[in-house]
Amino acid sequence: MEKIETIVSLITAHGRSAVSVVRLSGADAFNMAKKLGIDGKLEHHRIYVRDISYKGKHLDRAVISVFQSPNSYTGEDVVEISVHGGSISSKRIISALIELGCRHAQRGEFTKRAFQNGKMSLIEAESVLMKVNAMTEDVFDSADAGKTSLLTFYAKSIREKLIDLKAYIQSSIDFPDDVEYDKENAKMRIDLIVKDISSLYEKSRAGYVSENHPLMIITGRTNTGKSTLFNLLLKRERAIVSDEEGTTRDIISEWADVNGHPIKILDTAGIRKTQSKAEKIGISMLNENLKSASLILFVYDIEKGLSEEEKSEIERMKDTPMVIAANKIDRAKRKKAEKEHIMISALTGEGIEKLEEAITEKLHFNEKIEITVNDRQMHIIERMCSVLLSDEISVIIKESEILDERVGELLKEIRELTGEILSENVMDNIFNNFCIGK
Amino acid sequence: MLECDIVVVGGGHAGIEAVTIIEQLSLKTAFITLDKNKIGYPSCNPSIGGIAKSHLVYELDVFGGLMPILTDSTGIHNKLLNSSKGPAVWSLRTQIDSDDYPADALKRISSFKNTLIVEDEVLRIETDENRVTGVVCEKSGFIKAEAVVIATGTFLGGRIFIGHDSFPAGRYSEKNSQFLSDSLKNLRLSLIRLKTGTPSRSYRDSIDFSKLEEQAGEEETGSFSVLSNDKTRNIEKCFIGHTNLRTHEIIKDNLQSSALYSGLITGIGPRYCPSIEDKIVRFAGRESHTVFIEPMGIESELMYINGTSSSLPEEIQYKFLRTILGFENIRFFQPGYAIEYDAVDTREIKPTMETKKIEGLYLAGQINGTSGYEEAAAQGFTAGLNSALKVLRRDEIIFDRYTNYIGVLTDDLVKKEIKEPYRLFTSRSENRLALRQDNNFVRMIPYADKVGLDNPSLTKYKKINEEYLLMKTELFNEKDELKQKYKIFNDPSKSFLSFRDQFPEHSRRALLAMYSEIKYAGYIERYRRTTKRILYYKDYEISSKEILLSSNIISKEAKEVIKISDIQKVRDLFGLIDPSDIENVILILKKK
Repeated sequence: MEKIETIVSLITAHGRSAVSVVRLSGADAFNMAKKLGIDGKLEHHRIYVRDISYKGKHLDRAVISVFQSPNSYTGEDVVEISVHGGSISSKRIISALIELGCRHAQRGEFTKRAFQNGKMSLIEAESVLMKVNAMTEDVFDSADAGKTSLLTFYAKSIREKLIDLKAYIQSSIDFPDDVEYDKENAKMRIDLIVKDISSLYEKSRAGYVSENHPLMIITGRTNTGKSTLFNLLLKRERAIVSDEEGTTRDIISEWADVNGHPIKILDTAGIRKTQSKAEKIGISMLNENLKSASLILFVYDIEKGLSEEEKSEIERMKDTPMVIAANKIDRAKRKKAEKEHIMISALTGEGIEKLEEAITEKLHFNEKIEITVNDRQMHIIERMCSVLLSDEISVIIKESEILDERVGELLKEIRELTGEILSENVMDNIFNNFCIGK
Repeated sequence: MLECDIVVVGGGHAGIEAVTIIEQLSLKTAFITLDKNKIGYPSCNPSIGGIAKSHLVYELDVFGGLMPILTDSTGIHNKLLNSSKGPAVWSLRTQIDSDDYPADALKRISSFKNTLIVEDEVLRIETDENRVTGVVCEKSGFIKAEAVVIATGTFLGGRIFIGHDSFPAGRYSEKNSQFLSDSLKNLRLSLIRLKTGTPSRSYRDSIDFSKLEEQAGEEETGSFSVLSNDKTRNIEKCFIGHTNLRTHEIIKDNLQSSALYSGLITGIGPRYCPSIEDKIVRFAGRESHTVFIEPMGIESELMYINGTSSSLPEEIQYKFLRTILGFENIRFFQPGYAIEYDAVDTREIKPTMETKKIEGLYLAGQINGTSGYEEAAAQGFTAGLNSALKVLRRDEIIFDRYTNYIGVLTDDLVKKEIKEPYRLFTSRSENRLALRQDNNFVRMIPYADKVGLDNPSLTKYKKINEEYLLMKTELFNEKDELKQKYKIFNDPSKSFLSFRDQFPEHSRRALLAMYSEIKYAGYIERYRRTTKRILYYKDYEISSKEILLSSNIISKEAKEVIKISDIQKVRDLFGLIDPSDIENVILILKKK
């Protein structure tokens, strides 16, 4: 087998900071460190304070942490060099190491190696990504080691039931004289499996967070205060706000923490008849985004009331869950909105808690996040839900050879969910989502 | 000195199919058996077929094999197993008349122009520089041949055990072949010891049938042979009885006198066809086991007591059987017994059934560690066919496991270590829904054409296949999908009979194959894509295991197998790992 290349990367944030940490991982990690003028033996789990130099030039004084294979993050020999923050010191060290034969780590490569070296399961590796990218505390906590194994736990418990069922079907097919195929028995087992899968689906939906999910789109006619509301939900100024109609022309999006749930919010150009070219592009992009939206937040001006055009707009988007906000109640104290409309003032913040509640409720986020899943996991769980559709079961159950195929399909999906088998591009996809250095 | 092209040793089900296919290829064969009146005699239960086994019999029928014809002509009771499930797992099982079957076999083989039946015992296989030159027989002396097929069943070093008694035998009251076993050892073939068992044959008039549950034969099951026009005979009945706690007690109390449990038998028995002692020990919690009582023939005074195979002493067998309702006065013609015999380690053979060490030497049946008449027949056919092709200097034919059960069986045999007698199941196939009784002709005609066969069964199947293809072009589009207007046929609640009524002009066999094909269309399409790809790349070289072991797209289970297996080409992985893993192996190899 070819020798494992030693990789190097900065593992703390770029830019100004007190300390920068450079990590080296691979078979040559110790040797490379020594070539930076670090004398003596490097021992596992020891910390050294040393001057480092390259080609006779002193680079910095560093704190060096040593981890010997296999007891390191990646499972390989690892050296972590802490130096002064800012970009100069770490940059010089990394350039020196690359000249010495190290390679710059690719996105997520340290974690990928940890996974490949059996230091963590795929689901654990994915949870590292989730933690690094976590937008809210709830997500961080649910991606915690104990909780991610909850996803594995649910998957394994379904798998066990599937294997039992498969063994039962196989023996009833191959030994019909001895094992009578009892449809009631099979039905009972299937019902349990279906129940488990839908419960896993429900839990996953609540904790499904990915680059573009859950996505909430703020839309409505121009000058109804959408951008003001957007800033309010974000709890900071992001969009430019003015009284002029059509201020927002492009689409801007940001993550917000809504009652502990990370939600990606998209602010859009308002809808109006006369449109500039930029606005037209904005509107067509809005239509594209509507397809992947989990929720629409439709905003109208209560002072003006809901116009016919607005009503038809709402009708047009009725396939997507929607929350309707009647804005500007500060200006029209006496006006009453329809019962299901949430009365708010984006300007004063009045009614915002009620709006946030309505949003999380519509997104079925009434439960606290128990497990967090990413796109890959969610898609597999969605596919699993469609393998045994309730209206088919009564038919499939009679023909156990077909049921056996379906059970086989489910087992395959579970193997993929737990990362036992993966397709190569799935692998790359997962690890490319890591920031460099993790 | 007798001179022929091929010698076939052993007159069991493997031997019969070997000479039948060789006869079709017009080669001169010496068919050597100890007793010609016992050719095709059922050593164990008097029935042919059953799950997965019936699939083999249907496959043999396309090649004009004798087993389907003999079974239909001597059948006395038929049952379509799994008939409440879908057609992919329907399995015909026929009770046969155990006297008529050998008589009919002898009659038919005697009419073969190129086959000479020789009653003799083979003492030795003769070779020259690791190539077979013939066999030496006790009476006939040296018989010269270019190829030899050994299909000796349990006769090879056979030894019977009943309680503390044991004696050399090939079958009850029949002599074994010891010399041949030594001869194989001298050829440096490594032998293993296996065990099987059989229950008692009891007198019909000693059983009180009024106390047993009757099981009549079923009509409309279809026949094995296409030449029988799906007509079958149901003129005998089977019966069902049950063991009870008293029965189990007696067996438990006497385990120490069972040859199996006293340590006399070292060979390993079949887990799937356990002795009654095994059942009592392994399923200690069960209060009752089913016993099937099957007639040995129409005029036979004997019944086969299926499910009570035992190596306990005769008097204990009496004692426990007589606790069963209806067996109070049972009398044996012969008691149950266990038999231990030599088998060759199948890593010694190729998928053509030829030994790797000795060119021209083929092995088939129980000698390869299998159990079952049908498994034996399929190997006899494979060995006979390939020995003939070898003599004719033609390319060998290897059956692939993704299109037929002969392939599943032969592939499993050469790749998997046999530790107990091997029995075929539908779950051993990765393509269960595509490998059916009903589409035997679709799957096997290409092989028959490759051999260049011409026999009445094949001719008839070709007609049926034309019908089938005609229907297929009508019902399916170019992409092999069911046309929109015929989607109504894909209704799972639609029975075969109602489908048949729609096309009164077509034959039952073509219709049944079509009916199943529609039913499983989606699944089969998926199999077909995978199978096509992996068969296309079957000869791709695996240059290094390392790149496979370090890949993330191959499952852990598959890696474990890859680590310990001797693999040079993609096809060496067939049957060992999942087809989807094989697809990924190909992907990795191609990338490289």
